[in-house]
Amino acid sequence: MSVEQVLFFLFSSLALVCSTMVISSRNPVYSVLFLILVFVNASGLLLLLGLDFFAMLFLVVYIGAIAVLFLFVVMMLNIKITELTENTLRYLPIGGLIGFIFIIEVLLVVDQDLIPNLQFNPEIGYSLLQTVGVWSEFYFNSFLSLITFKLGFSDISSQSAQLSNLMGELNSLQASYYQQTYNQPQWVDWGKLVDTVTPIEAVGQLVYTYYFYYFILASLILLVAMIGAIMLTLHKTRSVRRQDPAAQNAREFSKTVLKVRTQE
Amino acid sequence: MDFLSLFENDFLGIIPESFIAFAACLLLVYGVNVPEHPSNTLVVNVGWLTILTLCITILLLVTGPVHEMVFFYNCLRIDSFSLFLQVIILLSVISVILLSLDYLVREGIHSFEYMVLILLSSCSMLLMVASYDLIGIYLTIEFQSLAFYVIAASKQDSEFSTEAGLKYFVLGAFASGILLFGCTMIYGFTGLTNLEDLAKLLTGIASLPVVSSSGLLVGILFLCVGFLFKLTAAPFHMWAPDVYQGAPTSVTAFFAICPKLAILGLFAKILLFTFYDLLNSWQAVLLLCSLASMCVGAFGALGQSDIKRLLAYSSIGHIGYLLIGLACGTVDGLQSMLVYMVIYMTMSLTTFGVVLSIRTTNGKPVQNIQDLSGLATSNPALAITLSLTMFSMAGIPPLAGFMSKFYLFFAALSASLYPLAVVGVLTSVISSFYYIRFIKIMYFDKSEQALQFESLDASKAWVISTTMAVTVFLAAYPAPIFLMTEKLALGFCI
Repeated sequence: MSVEQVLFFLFSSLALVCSTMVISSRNPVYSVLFLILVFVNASGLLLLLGLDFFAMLFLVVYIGAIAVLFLFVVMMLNIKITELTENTLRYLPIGGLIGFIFIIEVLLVVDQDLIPNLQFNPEIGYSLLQTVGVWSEFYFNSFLSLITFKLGFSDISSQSAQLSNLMGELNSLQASYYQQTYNQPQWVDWGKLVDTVTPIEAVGQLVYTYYFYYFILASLILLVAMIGAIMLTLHKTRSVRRQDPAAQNAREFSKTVLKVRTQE
Repeated sequence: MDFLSLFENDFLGIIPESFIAFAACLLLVYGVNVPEHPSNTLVVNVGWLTILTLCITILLLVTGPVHEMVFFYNCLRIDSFSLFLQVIILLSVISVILLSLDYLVREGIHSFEYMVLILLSSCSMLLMVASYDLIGIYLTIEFQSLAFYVIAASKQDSEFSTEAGLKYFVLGAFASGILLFGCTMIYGFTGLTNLEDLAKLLTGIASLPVVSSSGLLVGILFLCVGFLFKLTAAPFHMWAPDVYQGAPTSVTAFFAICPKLAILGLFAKILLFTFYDLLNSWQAVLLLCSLASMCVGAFGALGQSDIKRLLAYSSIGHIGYLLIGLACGTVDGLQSMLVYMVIYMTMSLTTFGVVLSIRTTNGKPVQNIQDLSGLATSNPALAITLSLTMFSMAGIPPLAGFMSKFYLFFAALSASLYPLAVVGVLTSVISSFYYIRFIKIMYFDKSEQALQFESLDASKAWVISTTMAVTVFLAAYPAPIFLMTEKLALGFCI
């Protein structure tokens, strides 16, 4: 086993264990800490794939921003541990069902080749000729039996059995043809033609040029997020005491603190 | 300089959308810097400017220099289908804003960002129906949803509104996750994200003897589930009644009308254009969801006494009917779906207009259906409008609702989807029970408290009367809409 494989198994198994701990640990703060560990492992997996920039991004965004936010919220909410423990089995049926469906999904995906559905034109003449041959043989034989007055149910059934046999052979021939085409596709080895660039370079070359539309769209999404955050949190009612920066800057600092002498 | 020449003409195609985005930024600056006048609330002021912006956008769309184009490196595509959808989306957004101006002032929703967010979300809807790539589709849907979460929670002093926003956020994020998962599966098994490339790759896949990869089908299934979540189709409808009830009524009107047009249009484009060759696999999903939505819409609404909840269930039922047209996969089906979309839009606008304008004696907006009792004596014009709209929604013959349902069932029959047509007729009979209950309450129930007559403000009156006229008189001259939708549906065959 190479080092990479060892690291892969280490990271993925740790990620699995930690993600189970996220949902099973009773203290929500521990859950968030385990979540951080899951993210660290995932970024390790990304590093193994050679995506160094994305690994860094994963750490910065998910741990630096999201997990810390979670931690803040969880600590501020002050959830009692006892409240959480009572309803663990209540959601098992529906959760188990969804989990089961997802496992089936994964199994469906695992045995599939992740190769594009190659489009090709099978040689139609080949199969057409075979089909015509089989059918003509069938009709010729039945015609022969008709004119020799040997037409009986047994004849017909044997003929049709023969026909279905032949068709089955034909199908298997076709299937093997497709098999061949799938197993030995003629492709261009793009890997040899492409210059090696680092992920950050590749992203920059695409996102800022050909796909700048997505970049601008993402910026609009961020604009909406910003407007939303301001709209939901900024209350413009009179009861909230607000700061007036201009007035505050204009104050003279020497006059802010005054000594008042009471006459006693 | 290569890239500059690559995108040389592309900006001509995106003039309307970029206009909206710039206008939204300008309005944001305007709203922050203009002091609030006691006589004229800022939200109304910005609302009128938003309406102006959207009207100019419609003009830009219709008179734009290019009408058929694939641009931004295959990220966007405009054609007659997207143009039609964009125009009806903008019209519905304008109408909803007109309906909600008075309501916003009286309910004390003063933040002008509300209007800016509506503007930005209409920009996202325009981009959504023009999207030509799975990445773009996901990004525009996120763009729209993010604006919606905030709008749903816009009434800060109401716990219901906050709850609705949070609920919408959690379930919407879930739906987006499923949608994205479907997209990644499709990308993983084909290596493509562009809609046209996918359509080309899948051409004739049904006739191939090799079983097409099940991963691709799972991807399409997830994509469908994500879209059906956003459309509030039946097994994925749980969030709709709560969100519709909790959000302010003007927001409910917006949610029930505008995004459905956009998402359904995009859904039709994906299924009928890209995955048409896998019709057999997605048709079953739509069939089930359509049946379930019709039944949930009919039976769920029977026990409701809250108007907004009832309208939410009614819109779930309407989505079921709309999905019939999509499930047909035929030109007739698509055409009848588009007709139904337009008629659904007008009918819902009238209904929400009436609901937004009725208030109980203590000045609160109506919540319970029973509050409508005595409307026939206090405001006969509104009562007649609401009863005609309810008759139309139930599908009583001379009105527009009958026509749309008739064509849908006809399309379902000609596509040999008999169960859909039969269940559709049965559920529309059942649903006419609660539609007609409105009329019974308005005309025959004695009210405990006399409703006061309140005249509507001009903008709302205009919208209600226009949509009402469409509902009533469409049967007299239906040719334009049928010709238009026929052309669009045939456009998919080329």
